[in-house]
Amino acid sequence: MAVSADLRETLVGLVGPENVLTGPETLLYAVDGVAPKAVVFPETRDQVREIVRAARRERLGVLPFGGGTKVGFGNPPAAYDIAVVTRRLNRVVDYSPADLTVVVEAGLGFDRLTDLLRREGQFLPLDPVGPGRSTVGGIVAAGLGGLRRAFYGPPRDWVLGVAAVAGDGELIRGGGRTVKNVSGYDLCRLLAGSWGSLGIIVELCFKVFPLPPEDVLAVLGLPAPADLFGLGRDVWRQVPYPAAILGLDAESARTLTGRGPAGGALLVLFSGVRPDLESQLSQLRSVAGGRAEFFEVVRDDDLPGLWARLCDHPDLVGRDLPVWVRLSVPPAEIGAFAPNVAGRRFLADIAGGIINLYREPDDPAGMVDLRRRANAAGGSLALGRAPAALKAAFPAWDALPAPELMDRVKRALDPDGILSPGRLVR
Amino acid sequence: MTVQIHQRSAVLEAFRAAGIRQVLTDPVEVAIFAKDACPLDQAMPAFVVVAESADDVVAAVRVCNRFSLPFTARGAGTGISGGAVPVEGGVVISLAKLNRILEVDPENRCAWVGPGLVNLQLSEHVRPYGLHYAPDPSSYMVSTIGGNVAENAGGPHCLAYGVTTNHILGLELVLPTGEVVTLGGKAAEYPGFDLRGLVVGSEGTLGIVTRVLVKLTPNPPELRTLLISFRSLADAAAAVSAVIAAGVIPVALEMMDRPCLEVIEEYVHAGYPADAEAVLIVEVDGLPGKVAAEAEQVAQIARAHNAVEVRLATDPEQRARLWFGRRAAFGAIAKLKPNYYLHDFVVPRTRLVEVLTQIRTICEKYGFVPLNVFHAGDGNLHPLIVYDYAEAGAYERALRAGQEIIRVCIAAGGTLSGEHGIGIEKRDLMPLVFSPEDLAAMRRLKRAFDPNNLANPDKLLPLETAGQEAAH
Amino acid sequence: MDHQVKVATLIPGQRTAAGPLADDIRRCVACGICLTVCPTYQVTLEEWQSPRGRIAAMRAVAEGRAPLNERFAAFMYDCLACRACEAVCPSGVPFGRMVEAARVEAERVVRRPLTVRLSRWILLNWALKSRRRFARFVRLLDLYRKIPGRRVLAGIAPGLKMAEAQFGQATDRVDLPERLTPAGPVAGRAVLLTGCVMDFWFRPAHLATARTLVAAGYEVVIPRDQWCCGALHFHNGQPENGRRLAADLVRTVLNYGPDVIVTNSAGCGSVLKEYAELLAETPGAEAAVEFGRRVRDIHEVLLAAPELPNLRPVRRRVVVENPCHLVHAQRLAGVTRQLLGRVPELEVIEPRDANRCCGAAGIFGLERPDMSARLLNDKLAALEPFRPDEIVSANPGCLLQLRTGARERGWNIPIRHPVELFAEGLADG
Repeated sequence: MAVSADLRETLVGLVGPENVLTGPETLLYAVDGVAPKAVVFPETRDQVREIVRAARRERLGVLPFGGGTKVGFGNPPAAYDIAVVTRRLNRVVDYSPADLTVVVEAGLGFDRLTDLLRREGQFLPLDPVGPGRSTVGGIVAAGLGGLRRAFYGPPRDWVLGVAAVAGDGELIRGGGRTVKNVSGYDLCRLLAGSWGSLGIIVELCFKVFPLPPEDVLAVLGLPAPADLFGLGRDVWRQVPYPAAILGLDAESARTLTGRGPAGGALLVLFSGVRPDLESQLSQLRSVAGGRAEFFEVVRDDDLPGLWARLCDHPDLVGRDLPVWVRLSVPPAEIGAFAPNVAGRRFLADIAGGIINLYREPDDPAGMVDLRRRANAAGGSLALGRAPAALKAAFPAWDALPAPELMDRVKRALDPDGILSPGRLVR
Repeated sequence: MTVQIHQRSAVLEAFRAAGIRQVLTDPVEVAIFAKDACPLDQAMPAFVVVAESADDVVAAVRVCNRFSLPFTARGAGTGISGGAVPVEGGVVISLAKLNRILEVDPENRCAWVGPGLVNLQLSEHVRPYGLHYAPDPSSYMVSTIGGNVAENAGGPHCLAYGVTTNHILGLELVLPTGEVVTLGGKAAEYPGFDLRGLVVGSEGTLGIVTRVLVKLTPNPPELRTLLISFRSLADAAAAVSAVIAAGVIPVALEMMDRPCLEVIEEYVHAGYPADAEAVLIVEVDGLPGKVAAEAEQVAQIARAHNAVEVRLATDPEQRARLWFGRRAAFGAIAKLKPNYYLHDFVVPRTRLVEVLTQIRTICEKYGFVPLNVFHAGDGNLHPLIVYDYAEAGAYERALRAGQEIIRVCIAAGGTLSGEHGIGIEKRDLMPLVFSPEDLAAMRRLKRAFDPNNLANPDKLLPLETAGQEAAH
Repeated sequence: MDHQVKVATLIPGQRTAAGPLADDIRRCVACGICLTVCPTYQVTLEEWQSPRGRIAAMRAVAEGRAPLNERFAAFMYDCLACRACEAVCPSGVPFGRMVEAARVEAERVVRRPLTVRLSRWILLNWALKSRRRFARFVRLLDLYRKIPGRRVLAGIAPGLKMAEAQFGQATDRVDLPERLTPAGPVAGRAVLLTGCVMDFWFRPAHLATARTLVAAGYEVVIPRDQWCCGALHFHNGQPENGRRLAADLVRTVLNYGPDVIVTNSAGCGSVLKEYAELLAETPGAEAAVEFGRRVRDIHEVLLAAPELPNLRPVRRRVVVENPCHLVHAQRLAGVTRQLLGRVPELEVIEPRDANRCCGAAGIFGLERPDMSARLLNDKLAALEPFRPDEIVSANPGCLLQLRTGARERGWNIPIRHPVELFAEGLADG
């Protein structure tokens, strides 16, 4: 269906012709095979507001679009008329290193923010998927925990303030610029993980942290896959303050390190000062005992590149595999899911109880069973990407808790249901 | 909204029929629940339901819906923004008896607890597992987890460990309409909006929490405390910033100013240096190497910022000595004047000195000397105005000074409240930091949860008329 | 002003309709710290069983938001008046005198079962009137103890079970000298107060107190014509009767020209030290000030005295229980532990909750037998793992209460005043 001339005219009037796409390029912004009628690149929050207002007048479906790294999550959009790409909303509004806070626009690339912070010896420990492409707005809107989530917490714990354009076209703000703040409802948390269904995030204030003096990553190759989660949990229990405990399948481990342990690899990250790191590593060695067939330590300049590739697991681990299953269970239960990943490619956050499983779209019955088991263990299963056919048969999300309440909350901020309709809620 | 006399017995009958055993109606009884620790307001509820189970809460909320009675949940009633002050003629639902620890799950480092559980008792209970509950508001000996959740409570350790919301994994919530929902859980990610995060800090306006899943934190292997004295407030504040800039995030960073030190010295003889203009208490924790390095770094930075004296404590007894004066501060202050008004704002750390100076000027204008003992690390100021109620006009002057101070803090980029909440105390000041659109959105969220506006109404959000006036 | 402030109608300097002074009520900022130490709140988790709740009730009555009614009276008598709250109150609320004042008003509306009313009347208004009456009361109790099946009888009537358990205990009446003089130089003259219950049930403690005072260099005078200090009356809404007894005591004792007036009963001590305030508007006010200045608990005297010579080792394990009126009202925390710590080889244990009320609290057991028994049980259960050879407590009510509990549990160990144990360490007997 072609975009109405009126809409295009309106959008061009708002942002200029060079910032509106309506041709075949819109395919680049397709979600679950559906391309938007128009793609707009606003530069200011006022423009975002006007776009949403225009869309609301016409009851058009609007999806915010950042780096597109997590575009495969969620159910196919019920209506997708306008993609609001935040790329040009990329200013650093205020950075106050001494306050440990930074205020940025939502379209700022995570890598740019990381560079900025690094110059002051600080960082934001979010480890997003696709760190080179993802935007801060997208990271928060998705709310997915990074590889160091168990130690540093999910994105929502790092958001101090937010500004977003709600579905009624009004700018709303929550939180502030200080580390502590109890003033009104916590809109930061409500918007974090809302997948663009409540508002289009335009600005964020983050709490940031000093970079640790040093990081080391221990890579332990396991002879048999059965022990990977068990050893990971033992490490979690017995070695103090691991910054991450990851489990990687054998094939991906070979791609990453060049060595291919038959049972996959356990990766343990420590951050801190040298004497502590050495003592943590030696404790790790003694916990691993004879269970690892090799024990390598990656440090200094070798580490950042390797870590970035790990963060990019949909490419590293999931290469050529169309389905990304994200399983989140109480961390102590993760061992029970070892059989489900056996022989498949995966990256697991063993400390945080998250498994990123990559696979072919075969065996839908097995998926249903896996979801049932995840729910029974007190966890959840989401699809990070899947072919349309699978999504049609298998919802991207579990049944929502308190669905009616969720619906009412959605209507409170998006009365006409124009923002990311159908992706998460109606 | 008051209850008609003829309705009174019908309501009471309904509570009883719903299986609730303890319902108070005698004026002396309900008067006991007329206020919390906020000095500004009180109101007589018509009924007090003392819940003995989560079912009692559900039943009580349903009865309130049937009779359109506004209800207010109450934990230990230690809040100082008026969050637990009931509506005149409404219902108080006391959660103090729901204080059980329902499950400790050391493998997942979390615990399900009742909302009436006292914060400190939780940490004491899980100590054998080598764990603790990190948020430690200064009321932690008394205040309940449910109250902490309602106010998103802070505490000295929040700088490093985060505020309450970072430590709440799940909630069982009785919605204002009487349905029960469970939000969040032991896993990291659940589908749908983070309503758990919205409910934390909502001051009881979105429902009543009947079970809380809290995150437990491993006890640090090593802990060191430094007490550092400065001859000027500016030096002390600069040292705080330098410590942070150096990449050290202490678990506690507390500052006391001269008027406060004088009072402490006079009444409890804590042994703080007599000529100090400001004293910092800095605590670092973690692995031994980090702790040693950071303690040394802090000491060096302090000296570079003209510290007069640096004392270091490593064992618990020495640490207790350094903390002694800080902990005794409020008791000492009470000896100065019988009444006090304790404020709570956060300003960007870099503007501490400027704001403190302005606070002093404002207070002096009204004839007070402000005492400052506060969390310098996160810029959370707690200026304290002491006065004597018996002195004509003192109370009113204290309130007026407070209003001016709030405006100064907001002008400096601060927030209305760091950890005490908005409640009644600051609801009409919300338009100072939020636009009419922001407030309208919050109102709509409130309605999404509470279509009948029964859950702790008139808290947190400005009263409609006041909001409109302030917006103009 | 943006707030709609409701200013209280409490007028400074005035006594309120609830009893306490307006200024005392206002001091409370309702922070709730007192909840953490209040024994009745900790057991019930009910706000009206807490100091803050009781003050809120007082405030409501004072402000006219609630009537002075039976519920108010009940709340005031639910309180142990242990004053643990005072010790932790950051605002310095004088809760003890507030609840005492409120009880005076409460007396007008209070309702009690007939048996409790009768027991109260017998004890407060008849027996304690004079030493002669009290002696008769004790003789009647002696007769009562001979009635077979009396425990069943007592079990029927509320309050009486506790009274029976305590006052049903045999008295211990060794002879006391009238005067003792040290061999060496005299540090001063100490008048020993013998009191009422102490003097009939705990004479050995008096004897030990006198001996230790002599060892500390005091000339000890034990007047025969002294009587009760009125503490129970002050604590139970009868200040007039209390003042009458207090005035008598002041007059009698000052006649003996004491340098120091010594008591070994914590409950009495706390009231004796407040005589100046309690008798402020009476003809005896000046004498009361004089008297109050000289009052010391025996612990204070002995801890202030130079090291007593030649303390013998005592190989025993003792658990120290601290009376509320010693640690909270008189703020003498840890004094028993310090005193007994001087006895060589004595193992002194002060349990974590040693400062928590045992439920005795004067005649609280009569008013609230269930709560009293519950607190006693908690106390003894916590103390059991220490397997002590004996238990000491420096207050007669607590001693009677602890003995009752120990007997029910079948413990056969001495439960007595710490000074008796301390006196064992004195070399010459």
